[in-house]
Amino acid sequence: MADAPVIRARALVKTYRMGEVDVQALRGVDFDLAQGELVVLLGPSGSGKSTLLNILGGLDQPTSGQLAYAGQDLSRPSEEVLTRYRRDHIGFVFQFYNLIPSLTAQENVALVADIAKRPMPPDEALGLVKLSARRDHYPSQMSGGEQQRVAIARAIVKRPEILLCDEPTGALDAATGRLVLEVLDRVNRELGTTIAVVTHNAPIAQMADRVVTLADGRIASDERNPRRKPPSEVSW
Amino acid sequence: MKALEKKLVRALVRLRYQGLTIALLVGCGVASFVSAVAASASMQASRDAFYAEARFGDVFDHLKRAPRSVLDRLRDLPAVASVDGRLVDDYRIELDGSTEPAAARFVSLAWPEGEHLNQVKIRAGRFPEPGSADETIVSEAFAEAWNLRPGSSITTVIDERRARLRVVGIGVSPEFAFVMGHEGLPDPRHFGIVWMDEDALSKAMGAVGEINDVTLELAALADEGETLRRVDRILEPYGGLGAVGRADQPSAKLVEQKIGQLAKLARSLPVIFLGVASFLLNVLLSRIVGTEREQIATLKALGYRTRELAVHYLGLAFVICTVGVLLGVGLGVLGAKSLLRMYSLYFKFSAFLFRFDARAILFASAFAFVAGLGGAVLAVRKTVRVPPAEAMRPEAPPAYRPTVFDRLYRLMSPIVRMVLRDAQRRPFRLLLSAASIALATSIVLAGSVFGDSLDQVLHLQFDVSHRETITVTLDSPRPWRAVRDAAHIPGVMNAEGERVVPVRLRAGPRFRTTAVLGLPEASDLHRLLGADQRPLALPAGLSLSRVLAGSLDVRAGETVDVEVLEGNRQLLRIPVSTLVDDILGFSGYMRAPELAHLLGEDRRADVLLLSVDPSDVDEVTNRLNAVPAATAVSRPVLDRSLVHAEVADVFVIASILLALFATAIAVGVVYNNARIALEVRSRDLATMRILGFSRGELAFVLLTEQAIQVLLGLVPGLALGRAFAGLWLTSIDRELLRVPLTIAPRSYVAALCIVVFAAFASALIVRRKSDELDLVAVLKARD
Repeated sequence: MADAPVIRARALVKTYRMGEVDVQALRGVDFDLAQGELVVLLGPSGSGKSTLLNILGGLDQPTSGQLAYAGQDLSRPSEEVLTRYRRDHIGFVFQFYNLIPSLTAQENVALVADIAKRPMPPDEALGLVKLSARRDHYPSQMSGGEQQRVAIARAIVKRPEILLCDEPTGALDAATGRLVLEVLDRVNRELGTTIAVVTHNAPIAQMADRVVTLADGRIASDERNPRRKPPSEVSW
Repeated sequence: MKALEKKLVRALVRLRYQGLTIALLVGCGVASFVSAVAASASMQASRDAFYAEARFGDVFDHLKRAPRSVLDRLRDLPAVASVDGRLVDDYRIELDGSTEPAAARFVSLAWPEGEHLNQVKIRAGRFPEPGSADETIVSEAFAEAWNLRPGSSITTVIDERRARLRVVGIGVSPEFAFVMGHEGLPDPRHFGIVWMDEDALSKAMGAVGEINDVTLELAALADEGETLRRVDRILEPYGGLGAVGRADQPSAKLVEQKIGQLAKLARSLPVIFLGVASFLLNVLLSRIVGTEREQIATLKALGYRTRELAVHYLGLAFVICTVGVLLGVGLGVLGAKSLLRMYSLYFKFSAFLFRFDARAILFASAFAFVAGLGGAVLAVRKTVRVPPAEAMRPEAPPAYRPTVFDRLYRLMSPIVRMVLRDAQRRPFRLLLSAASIALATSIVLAGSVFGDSLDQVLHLQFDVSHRETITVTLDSPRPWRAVRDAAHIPGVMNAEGERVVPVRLRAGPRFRTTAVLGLPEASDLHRLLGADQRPLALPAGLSLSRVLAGSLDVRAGETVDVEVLEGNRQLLRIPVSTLVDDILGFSGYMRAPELAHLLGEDRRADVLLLSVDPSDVDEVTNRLNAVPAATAVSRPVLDRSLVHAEVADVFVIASILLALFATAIAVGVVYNNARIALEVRSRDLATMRILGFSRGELAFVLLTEQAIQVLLGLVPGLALGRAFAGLWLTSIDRELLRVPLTIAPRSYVAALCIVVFAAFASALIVRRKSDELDLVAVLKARD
């Protein structure tokens, strides 16, 4: 299934200051993301998985190392190039949904449709996550699972090549989390979107094509699942 | 509407009260600028149109008497386009059914009226018939004060003959656009202008074929200074008092001064308001982008550009500024119109033209936007630039470091330490907030200076200096017997006489035309004031008003040349013995016997000052009115109450407006700061509630910082207000009126109360919000 990687990262190092402390989040990571695959990045807190995801998604820049998207170098991109990259190719799903509280579900989705090149209608995206009925509700009026599904709708409305999910079920109970994973699985299968999911919840790895484990800022293992389990069979 | 625009609209709805308080400040700034500029432009346009339409002269001189033939010599001067000669003199006026003393300046009208300078513009009725002996035009302000209309009658006494005159017209003239009363204060009720036919007036005055007043129109590019000197040389033998240009013509000078005051206002007030608005927008947007840090990161992660987000947040400031500007322009136009309406009570032009300068609006708006958006840009810039991943992480905890105050803090409860450390961590914001409060306090205080100083001026003028009950102006210097006669009128307790001698004082190249007053050695009714505003004993030699000495550049001990402008026109050299701090106008003062000796005459009096038993005032006034030699009988106490009633109204309105402005600032600062503190602190506060602190203790944490700002600002605000007040008083021409900077203790208290009350009320509103804090929701939300 994997041909030329969509994203290719080599020797990524990331150091940043947090308050008055220096944190070395990545210490030389090589990572490829192939077209159409669903990869789960596993690792305990502070292993660097979120930092890697942020760099892959153009939210952050590596301190050193190379990064390329579809053959284009993104190691030292300008602000504008990064913005274009996020705007046109990347969809994001965050652990805490990060919906804009003053916008309804439909409007949160439209927020991205407004600036995308060839978006699907926001209502169609909401339909894909089975939330058409909640389109006019504000985030504060929805459950966590619903909010996360709105976030997914918001991420896929632009038809991104890559969907990056940071602990998408981290704030949800198991049943709701499973619902969210089902949506991701469907997006991957039906739209062919490449997906990387960061989690510290190991059982989720069973639904992936490939499982990459990080520890202490390095890749500890990179294994292919013999069989992808449907999310309904995943339990934790 | 795009989703991001909807977000903006909702943010605006949510922040409507805070936004409104800021928009109000922007509005005040724009309104004060627009109204001052529009009023100033309107005054200028109205004045210029009036001067041109009525052919207002360029050079003016008053003389004793001269044959009309002297006008031909003036006409022959180079650069003189035309010359008019008239008869002008002050006479007593009696109004039917009133014992209130009044006087008027009578001015002769030559025909055809339209070919002369200083033309009268008729507001009601008509011109007198040429040759008519009893038809007059009365100045509008005087007519309004006495309710005179065409058809009314007035009585006057000219050259000891009583005459009944008919009012046929009500008029205005550029020379008398603003009329000063005898006391040097605006007094339209007791001093007016009466125009009448030249022949009739010259017969009444016994001056047929003569003139005593000239007006010249200069050709373009004429050298005014040179012309003034030549006019003086020609008119000197006829008792010329010294020619003045238009800039020194009393009415023109006052009009010019008022326009200057407006310009000064346009430059000072708006800067205060827009400065505070800019600061508050900065604080508000800092808070918004601070709390929406995560949203900003999300939007960036979703592909929004830094520029798009900057525009989004600046949109908020833009809308607030726009509302403020619209409000300001509307209020400014209304303000300008009401200013003009107010001025039209004092300044009598043929028409008040409203000039609404679009450039002023553009300028004020541009300035408001630059100030408002400037404050906002500083707040937004930093946060929207943060890389999205960094913004997704909660902001690092604010850095608190040990400071020199820590030892002191140890003495206080943790809650107080918390407040003080917080205030100390943002010293710049604290200082700017305190500065805004200081500005608010200062404008309320400065607003009271005109009223308080007016009270002080009236007190010094009428209680300390001029203590007579009745002032009688005589038609000519009368023998001293007149004073003794007056003293014998039943009811008169004390009578003093004053000699008023027109002079030109010279010191080196400088000269001023004025009068020397001969006063009794120990005058009780007209006391001179020293530097400490206490009565001063009149020493031998010549005493000068301090402004007069200043403009001549002489000090006590030096000598001046005194050129007497009447009688034998002696030239005297007199040493200046002391300087006098009188309040109105300027003159020289000498002991009466010494002055009489220098002039080589017996003691005489031009003015009688009478102190009268209160129950006999009307009776005495009536008897004096029957004295033909009395050209004007006035009662200072009436002048005083009138001035107070007329002018005080204006000051009260101005003070109220400034107090409202100040309230807007205080509310804007405290409400915004407290709301922001509440929002930023909600997590801390909720945690404290759960830990068992009471609502009162929470309010203490929330509002003490506001209280510190207010307290820090109050005292500097009072000092600043005094400074502003002094600055505003400089717009008053010191040669006309020296206003001692006076602010009554009650004004200080009022300024403090207004600001503290506005701040307190705003804080209370926010406190109620803090009481409603939803503990669970606040703690559940992620930082």
